Amino acid sequence: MRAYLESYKKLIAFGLMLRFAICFWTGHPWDFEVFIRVGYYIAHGSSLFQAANPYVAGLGQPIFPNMSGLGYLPAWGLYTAFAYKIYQAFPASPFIYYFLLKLLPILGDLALAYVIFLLTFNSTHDVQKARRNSLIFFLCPFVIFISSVWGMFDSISVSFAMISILLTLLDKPYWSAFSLGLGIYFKVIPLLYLPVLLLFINKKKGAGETVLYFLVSSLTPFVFTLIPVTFFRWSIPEAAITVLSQTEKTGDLLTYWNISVLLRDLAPNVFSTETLTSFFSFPIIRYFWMLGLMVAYFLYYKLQTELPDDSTPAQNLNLLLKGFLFVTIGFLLTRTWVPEQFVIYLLPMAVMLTGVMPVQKYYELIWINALIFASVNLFPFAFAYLINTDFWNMFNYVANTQPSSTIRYVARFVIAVFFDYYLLKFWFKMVKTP
Amino acid sequence: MKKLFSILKNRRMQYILIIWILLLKAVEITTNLLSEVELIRFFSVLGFSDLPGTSLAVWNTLFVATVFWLIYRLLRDVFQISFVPKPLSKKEMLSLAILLIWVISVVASSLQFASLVTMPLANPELEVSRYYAPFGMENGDSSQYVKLNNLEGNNVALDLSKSIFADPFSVYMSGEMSQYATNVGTSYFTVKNSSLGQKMIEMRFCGNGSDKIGGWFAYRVALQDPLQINENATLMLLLKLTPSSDETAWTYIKIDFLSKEGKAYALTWKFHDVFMNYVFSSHNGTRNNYLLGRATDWVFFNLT
Repeated sequence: MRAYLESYKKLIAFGLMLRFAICFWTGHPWDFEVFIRVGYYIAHGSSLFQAANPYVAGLGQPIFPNMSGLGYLPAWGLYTAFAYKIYQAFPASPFIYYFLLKLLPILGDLALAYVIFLLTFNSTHDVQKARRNSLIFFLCPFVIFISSVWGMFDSISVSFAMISILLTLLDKPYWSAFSLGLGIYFKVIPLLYLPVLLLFINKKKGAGETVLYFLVSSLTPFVFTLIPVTFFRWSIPEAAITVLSQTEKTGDLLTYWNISVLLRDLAPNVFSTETLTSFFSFPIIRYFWMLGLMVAYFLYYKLQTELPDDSTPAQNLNLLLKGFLFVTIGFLLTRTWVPEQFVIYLLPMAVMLTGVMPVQKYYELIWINALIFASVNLFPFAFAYLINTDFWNMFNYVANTQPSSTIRYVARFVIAVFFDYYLLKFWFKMVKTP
Repeated sequence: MKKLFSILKNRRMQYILIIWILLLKAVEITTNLLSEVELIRFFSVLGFSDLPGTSLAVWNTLFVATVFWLIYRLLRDVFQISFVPKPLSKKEMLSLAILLIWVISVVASSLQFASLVTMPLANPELEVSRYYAPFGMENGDSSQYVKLNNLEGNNVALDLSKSIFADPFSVYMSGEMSQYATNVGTSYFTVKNSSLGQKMIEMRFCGNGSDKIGGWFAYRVALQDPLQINENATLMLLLKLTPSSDETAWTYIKIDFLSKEGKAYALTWKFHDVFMNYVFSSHNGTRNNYLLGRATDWVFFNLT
């Protein structure tokens, strides 16, 4: 057992070292560059939500002269400014700044691995299973890629969502609500899980506690947004509009809706941008995800009615995991714009279900598809743009030159269809398995 | 396909679909109402006010059909009233089809007539633009007007109470307004000479926030008297637009024309942050709309 513990720690350390080794010189040419610039500008007193972020000499790369701001609540923007302030104190190399920007998402991965361990152990009392789940997630190449190569921080948001499950099961509902609120404070996606937790709390604790849970979880991001907005005199409408910026998107990325991009490439006169914009702005298409969520909540509610009053911790955990997965899969299958990092919201819950139902195969196929899609959408070498802008230029040329551009669009569509197919399989497996 | 049909036949699924459509209508109504409130009018980006006419008609038809569907379901499930139509003969089917076509054409004609008689006559004033209120700006006295003294010829009055100036302006009744905008991406009006030597108003919006100013601002330019326009008149739009941070900004310029015969025409240019590039004509060709997106690469199409 002791030897296993040692190797567990070694594997966790290996995962961390691997992340540290590849994090400081890589990044997504758009997202990471925005983080670099936003951190600089906020640290110099600008509004977190300023419209334009021009290139800062000596930081990042000038491949985009002017970039948009952040589309999130203030948590991440404040961290980027904090990271810049630390770098400013030790300005030996901008790579220190890049490392600091990646540090928090990497710690998010680590926190997730630990929460997976705790949740599995609490429900099974099987330390080996807990370590297995924890390691499968922590050493997953897709997870490593998103946090330490791309530089996206969804792992922090998911960590707080998972901690909220843990605290709910440990009978600490208000801390759970607070944790979920912090998750929302980083990215709004965990808000989708709120109805699941409210239904669960309502069943276990009653209506009064449910109302309090709702208030704590929704007031936490609101208050934490209001504090810096008031202190730094940022505009409230500006802060709020960032939340809304994600609602109107045309079909693209890791979803079957990306066929629109392929069709536009093949027949630009028939599938013109204006036609597609009109299509995707049509209410039932634009808010199709709302239907996906409603079906997910309904399925969860049906499952919850079958939960006995004296349910075991394992039953409670499985129910909540299924609820979270219904919501995530329902959302990914119906939203018209699905960035790759959204898959991170799926993996921690899915890996814990692999020990309960036969979904290991789909879990693997889902992240493998997502990783392949990310590599086709933005060729891996382009993530090294911080070293040399030619990496970006090469990608840009290939991605926008015929016939490689069409081949890329076809590949993207095929991979996305497979991805959605496996999501559906996973969904039906959950519905059918008690 | 069979599986999908069986899912749709499921009563619970039908209720989910009905609630979904009703929720979307609620979103539409709420965002329309919120757009009237100063501080939270940006919520209108969640609504459907930008939908083209055809899409809007389809959407409203879908909503009405959903309401009927809900009534049908409630009659069956709550009041236990069910309709079992008796099988129709071929002749009856044909009569029913003719009746349906007649009803649809009557409704369409009535709607057209209603829109024609209620359509307001074109305002001869040259309405140049309307914007959302600014973010992060101190609203001054809203009655404060700025007169551009160096613009001669036309009596132009600008309501610049919610704007920022890069260059000092001679402010009517309130003296000089000092510069407090940023150097990059700031929002301001200024008078410049065009390449043809004409005086023009340059307008920018979306401050970059480095001075805590960012977002959109509001202004209105209205001519006191109508401009006389002949067939050879050339209209020039001199705009300088900066995109917003979240791709939700938009603005439009609408010009109404009134012919000597009293017939009204309208030209509307709507500029979006997100990429779009299309035109549509409505009201029997008397209203032409150009929808353009992104601050660069605009292409005009000719309406025929």
